[in-house]
Order: sequence, then C-alpha cells, then structure tokens
Amino acid sequence: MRTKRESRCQWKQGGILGLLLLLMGIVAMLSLGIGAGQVGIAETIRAVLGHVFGLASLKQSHMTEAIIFEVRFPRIILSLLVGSALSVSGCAMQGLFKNPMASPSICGVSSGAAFGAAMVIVAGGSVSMIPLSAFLFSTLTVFLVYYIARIKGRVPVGTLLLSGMAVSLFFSSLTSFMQYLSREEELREIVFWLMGGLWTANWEKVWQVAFLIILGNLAIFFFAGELNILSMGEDQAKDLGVNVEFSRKMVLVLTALVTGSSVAMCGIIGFVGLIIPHLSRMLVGPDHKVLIPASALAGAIFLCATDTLARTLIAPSEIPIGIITSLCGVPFFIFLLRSRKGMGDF
Amino acid sequence: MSKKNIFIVTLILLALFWVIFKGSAAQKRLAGAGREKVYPHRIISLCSAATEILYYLKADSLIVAVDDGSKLYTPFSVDKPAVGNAYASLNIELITLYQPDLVLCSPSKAEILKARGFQTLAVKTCNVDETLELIDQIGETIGRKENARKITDWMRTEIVGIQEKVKQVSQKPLVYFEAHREGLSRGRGTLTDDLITLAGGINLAHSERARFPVLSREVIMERDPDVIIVESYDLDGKQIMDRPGWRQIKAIRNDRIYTSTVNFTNYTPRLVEGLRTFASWLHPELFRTPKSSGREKEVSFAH
Amino acid sequence: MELRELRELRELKVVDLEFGYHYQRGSRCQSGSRCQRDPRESGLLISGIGLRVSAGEILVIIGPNGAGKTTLLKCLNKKLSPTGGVVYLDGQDIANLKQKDIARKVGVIPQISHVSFPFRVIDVVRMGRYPHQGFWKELNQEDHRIVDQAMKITGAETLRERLITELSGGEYQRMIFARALAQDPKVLLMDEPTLHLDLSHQLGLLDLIRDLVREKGLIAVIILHDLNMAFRYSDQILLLNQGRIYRYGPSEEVITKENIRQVYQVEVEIYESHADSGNGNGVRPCITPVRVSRLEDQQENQGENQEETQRDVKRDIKEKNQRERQREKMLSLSGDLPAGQSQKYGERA
Repeated sequence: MRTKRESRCQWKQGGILGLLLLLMGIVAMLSLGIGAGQVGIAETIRAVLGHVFGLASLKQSHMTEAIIFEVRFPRIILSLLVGSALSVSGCAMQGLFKNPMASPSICGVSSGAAFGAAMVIVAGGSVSMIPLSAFLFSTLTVFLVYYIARIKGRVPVGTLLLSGMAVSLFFSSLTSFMQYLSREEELREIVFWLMGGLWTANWEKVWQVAFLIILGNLAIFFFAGELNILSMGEDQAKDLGVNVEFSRKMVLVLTALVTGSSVAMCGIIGFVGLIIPHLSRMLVGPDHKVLIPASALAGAIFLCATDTLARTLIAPSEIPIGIITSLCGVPFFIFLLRSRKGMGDF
Repeated sequence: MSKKNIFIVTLILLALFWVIFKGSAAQKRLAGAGREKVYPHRIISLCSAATEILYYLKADSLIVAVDDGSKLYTPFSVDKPAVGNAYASLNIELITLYQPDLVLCSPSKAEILKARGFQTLAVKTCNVDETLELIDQIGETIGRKENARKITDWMRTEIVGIQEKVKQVSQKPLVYFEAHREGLSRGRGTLTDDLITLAGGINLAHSERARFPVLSREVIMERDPDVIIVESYDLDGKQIMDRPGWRQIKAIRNDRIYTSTVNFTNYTPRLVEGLRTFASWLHPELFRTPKSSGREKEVSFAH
Repeated sequence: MELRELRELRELKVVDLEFGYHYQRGSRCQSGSRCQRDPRESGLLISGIGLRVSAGEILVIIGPNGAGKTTLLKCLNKKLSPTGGVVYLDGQDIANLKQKDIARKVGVIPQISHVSFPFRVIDVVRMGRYPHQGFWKELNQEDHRIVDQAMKITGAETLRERLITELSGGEYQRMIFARALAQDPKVLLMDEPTLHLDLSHQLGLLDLIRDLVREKGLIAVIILHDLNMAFRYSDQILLLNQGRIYRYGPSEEVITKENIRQVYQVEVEIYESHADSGNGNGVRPCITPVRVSRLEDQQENQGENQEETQRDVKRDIKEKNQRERQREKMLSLSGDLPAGQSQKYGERA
C-alpha cells in the first residue's frame, strides 16, 4: 500500500525525469543552432520544422541544411548517446562495486580501447579501422580482467577491482610505448584521440553505436533490482536469492559493450561516468529503477552541453572534450566530497 | 516497472530512433560540384607546408581558407580566413561553408573528409625526395605543372651542387640535431637526417630505429658530436652549454653550436635554404653562410 | 493447518555437515570416515554436524568465539557450499536448489554490515520480495500487503521513510528483520540478532520470534551468546565447540555446569527461579557466571568431594541471599512484569 507521502515521492521522481527529458530536447535544439558557420538558431528551427512536417516553404538553402543535418545533427545525437552510455555504465559500476568512486573505466575498458586505437594509428591503418580496433580491444580487456579475477568460479569484488587496475596500467604503458614509436603526426593523432573528441561524427557512426548503446542501456536497466540489492552487499544479496555471479558477469559485459563502443567512437571522456550518477542520486535517490533513467538523461544533457562548449569556446578551433568534462567535473566532485550528501557513509 | 512505465519508455525509444532515422534520411552531399575534369579553384590548405608550396607555385589566389598554422609558420603573409587549427580536430562546418573543391591536409584527416565527399590531397611527413614529389604532385593537381617543374628542377640542381662539393671532404663531422627538447633528435628517414647527410655530415641519431628518438645525455656525451644544431622557437642555442656535463662535448668546446629554425626543416622549397645553411655550418671552409637566416619573408631563388 | 501436520511436512535436517575454505569436497582424513581429532587440523571449520528442527521449533546455537557457529549458519542457506554432508530443507537437498528458490523459504538476519547508499527503510524492506518476483519485478497488491504486515509486526513502521544511513544499530536490525519477514519465509536464520539491542528490545525481539514461530509454524535457528536467553527461548540447543557438536538436545541437557566449564572454561552457578519462565514449566533456570575456570576447578569433580561440597553449601547459602537481591533488580529491569502486563516489541519501556 502506498502512503500519500510515497505517492508524492513517486510523482516527484517522475516529474524530475520528465523535466530532464524536456531539458534534453531543449539543449539538443540549442546546440543544433550553435556553430561556427552563420547558421543560427532561427534558421535551425525553421529547417527542422520544415523537415519534420515536410513543409517545403520552410526549407533553407542547400548549404544551411547540409550543415544542420549532416554536420551538427549527427554530432549532437552522438553526444546524447555517448553521454547516456557513460552515465549508465558509471551507475552500474558504482552499484556493482558498492563503491561511489567507481567509474566505467574501472575494468580497463578505456585503456584497452586506447591501445587498440594507438595500434591502428601507428600501423598506419585506415582511420575507419580505429573504432573497430578500439572496440575489440576494450572487450578483450574486460574479459581479461574478469578471468584474471576469477577464483574457483567466484569473482570477488575486491579482486576484480585490483585486476582492473593492473590490466589498465598494463595497457596504458603499452599505449605509451606506441606513442614513443610513432612518427610526429601519428603521435599527435594518438594524443588527441586520447583526449576525446566528437568532431568525426557522421550518420554512419551514429547508426553503428545507436543500437549497441540504446539496447545496452536498456539491458542494464533490467538489472536495476539486482543492482539495488547488490549495492547493499554481496552477503545480503545472496541471502535474498540474487544470483550474484551471473548478475555481476552480465552487468560487466553490458557495461563493457556500452562503454567500449562509446570510447571507440569518441576517445576517452572522463568524469562523466563518475559525476553524473552522483548528481542523479542527489536528484532522485539511490533506487536504480529511477536512477538509471535519470543518469542516462542527465549524462546526455551534460555531454551535449559540454560538446557545444568545446566547439564554441575557442572557435573556430576546438578544445578536446575530455578536457572540458574534467574541468567541469573536478570542482563539482570536490563540492560533493565536502558536502557528503548523497554519498552515504563509505 | 509497471505496464504504464514500459509503455512510456518504449515511446521514448521509438521517438529517439525516429529522430535518428529522419535525420539521416536527409542525406546531402557536403561537396557538390566537380563532375567535369576541371582544376580546383577553391582550395583549403590545412597544412602550413602545403600553403607555402601553393604560394611558391603562384597559386595563392586559389586559396579560400587556411588553418591557423599556415598563418603563423609560412614566410608569406597569408591574408586568408582561418578555419581553426587543424591540429587536433577539424571544423567541418566551416570547411563546408567555404565549399572547397580541394582540401590539403594530413592523411588521417583526409580520409575523414573524403568519407564526407570532399576532394582531398594527403600531405604526410616527407624527406627530401618525397618533398620534391609532393611539390610536383600538388602542381599537377592544381594545374600548375610547369611552375612545379621549374621549382623542383631548381631544387635538384642546388642539392646536387652541394652534394658534389661535399664529396671531396674526407672528414665528415658528427652532428647532433636537437629539436625543442633535450635529447629529442631526428632519426633515419626524416627530412632533417637527409639534410644533414646531404650537407656532408653524419647524423648522430642516424642509427636509431625511431624517427623521433629521445637520446639520453650519456649517449650524446659518449658519441661526442662535432657540431650541435638546435632547432627551437625561442631558445638560443648557446643556452644548452649550461647543461651539466655538456661543457666537455667537442662541439661546445669548439663553439660549434648553431641555432636553426623550423623553416629549414619543413617540406617546402625552402629546405634548400636549410641545406645551404647547414652546409655552411658543417663546412665553413667550403660554403659561405647565406645572408638570410630563414626568418625573412622571401627567399631568393630564380622564379 | 494443524501444527502436527505441519511438523511432518516442514523440517530442516542436516546430516554430517562439514566445511572448510580450502577443502575439496569428498576428501576425508586418513584415519577413516570419522575424524576424532580436532577438525581444525585438517582445515575444516566445522565437521560432523547433524541436527533436525521441525516446524514450530526454535534451535539455538551457542558456543565460544570461533566455534564455527556463523559458518554453520551460512551453510544452512547455501551461502557457503559445504564440503561434506547434506542439508535437507523440507526433504530437498539444498545443493540442488537455486539461490532464489532457497531465498523464497529461508530468511536471514545477518550481523550488521557496512552501509553505503542512502536507501529508505521501506525500499530495503521491499527488497525482501525479490525472491518471489518474476522478470518484470513489479510489486503487486499482495507484495505490498506482506511488506506492510512485516513492517507492522516488527515495529519498523515508524522508520518507514528514514534513510538507512541514519539508523541506529537497533533500528537497522529491526529493518533487516522486517525484510526477512517480507520474504515470507518458512525458516528464519539469525546470527546474534540481539547484538545491538537494549534489554527490553532483546526480550521483545525474541518474544516476537517465538510467537511467530509458534503461530505460523516456522523454523528458527538462532545464534545467541546470552545463555539465559538461549535457555529461555529454545526448544533445542546445539552447543558447538571447535567445529564439532559438543552437545545437542533439549535445553536442560545441554546447558549444565559441567558442559559450560568444559567448553567456555567458565564456572557458573545455575539456579532455579520460580518466576514465570515463559516456557510453561513454571521453573526457569538462571545461569550466573562466577569466574573463569581454573585448574583447581577441573579437579573439583575428581575426588575431594565431601569437604568441597560442605564448604560449597555454606558459601551457597550466603551468596544465595546476595543473588536473590540482585535477581530482583534484574527482573524489574528485564520487563518481566507481573502477569497481565506484557510489552510489545518496539515500544519503549
């Protein structure tokens, strides 16, 4: 039976989710209208409406439409997708490891992807191979981490953490070695790939990751109940009948897929997976059934906004987005640390 | 998750997919024209070396936009709009706006632009021979073949000339070339290595496998170079004397440290200038030091 | 269903259970099928455990620290997989059951654990319905009813919207108990549930457990430290020592001066009190520790009986008067009010 207070709480949570959804739409539209070219918000809105409702009268010039729909639109969609992917993964990792300091790269996904990308760049392979190689290596890394930590069929959380650290360091050093071997422009490329960037976004890339990220996020969402219980502790989870090993493995795999595809497309974007879940927890509480959708939306908004900042602050040049997220993330993180709200006791 | 919530979530997802679908259905090619075999007349150069070559080819009128680096590092005053620095990323929006029919940039960026429908010409790092090829290639692509031929012929003549003169020398000095950071040198296969060799010297880093090796202080001291050439934007070569232990090195004892500029080792016609300068440093008895130091805006050679 | 009929269907039986962390299942020690020496030497934490509890019964496990009580309890709901022996739940070997199936029948109240995320109490109690949920994990009317009832019984209703990071030890315990009851279990396993509770709450909790067990025909297995409580609330007692059963059976047989001296190395006096025991016997023993056992106490039983007993009797009479007075004080504190006045668990004295 739901008390009145409880119903109100539910409505409040639903309201926040709705608000986030609305905000996402607004930020996306605004970002669509901002750019280096002279295509402003007014033209953008007209062009979009023209397309949605098929009104020829609202169509803009060929160039304007090209910029809006070929250059900006895929980039914004990609930022929304990647933002949600990183946040949901961060959420899952924090619940799984019962640790508010966890982030998606905790199991070596980022380092593996970085190494995969560096390999292709140094070998002089085609640019389109980079995402594939990065994705493959990130998946490989997570499997490595998992099986190193596996003892007699059980994977204790502490061991998983340490295994992740070790494998991350290993691939990081390999990547550094790749950087050393590389020529000047390759070095440049690796370094900037590592800093993250969405400027290569096009519709093909969006399609490639959209399915993986959307379905992956949804699948993680299905484990919300298990994540709730797991975040109380492995012992208690077993008492309540949760199949801990299975849940852990599945969530890890899903996180690897989702994060791996994000990193493969856009390089390493830090802090999103660490901060956004905390922010969402402050808004809607720790129940993963609401937390995961909230994180997804908040992450999408955050990355879309920071990407817009990245390409407008020093226009026409672009700041690598990893730098902006870190700059935004660090003060916020310190604020969280000091206020201790939403982090509980750890 | 009640039935109502499932319904809402499904709706949202469907909306998202619809948006993606609708957006991508608006397929438009970013670069339209160019079906006939016409030489490009709207060129964007995202590489300072390429911009310089275009100026030498008297094709600067064809340029519609450049990158930040082109404005800074070419000896010409480049009065063209900039589309950002093409270092980390490209501003595809601006590039699209200028509607180029040829874009000159690094190979990886060229690939990305080509996927979007632009005509591109990839400019990778070159050594001396590759630079000559590059000039010819660019000349041919933009319809300035004769100009390019003239320049490369002249360059070849000069290079061969210096080569001949240097052949008589028995003692080739050991040269340590430092670029911007202690220990960072240029190895086999780089332009700098070629220049040093052509100028009658032996590159200390020639045996290194990496193209941009970082040599340790001990190795440098052990090999004891006769000449040190320092390339940096602001550092005066003399300052490296103060490094601990470096006083012992032959080059420093004999005061044979020289400061070079990046313009000498860029893959443009001015590498000839660089070659002449290096030759005069390595074999002052054979070559006069050229009057210009590379920082001037024009280079003297037969047009 | 009649309690008698329930008893036939529902029981928890353990046969020859053993467990060790680095132990391979099936291996036996060299001296044959029964190891008489200390099972610790072979790496086993517990060995040779057998017990049987029927519906409506409470089994209390006592023993010194490190005797293996918690290990045994963990084996009963398959949190640890035993390396030898079988645990039967309602006739089924739990080794063949999945964790979720076991959780449908077995509710656990573990020792207090580290709290991380600020859930509300009601959220945590609702987690107790997890074993009964299908894929969609939605709580229906029935689920809510069970949860609310569990909250009411345990008195956790007042804590409903509180954050678990702000709870005291006792309140946390109450919430965990409510969650265990929300699982609608047939068996309750409890590891020192009274640890953080004051005296009135201790009695209240144990009274509540006993009432639930009797009314609903549940089975309860409780680890307790307090011997008085153990005696008062148990139907059977298992005295564990160094991983093996020292004594197992009805309370009076297990808790004797001799057994306690042997296992705990403590001298105790056991008095009979005529206050209401709650067991329905009219007589309740009071176990009072005297001092840590010395070598001489060991030899007490061997010879020199007469002199000792005479001296004992005189001392007994003197000390008995002292204790009588102490006991009166204790009784008034323990909430053992005159008949007719009982205290509900959760209400403050």
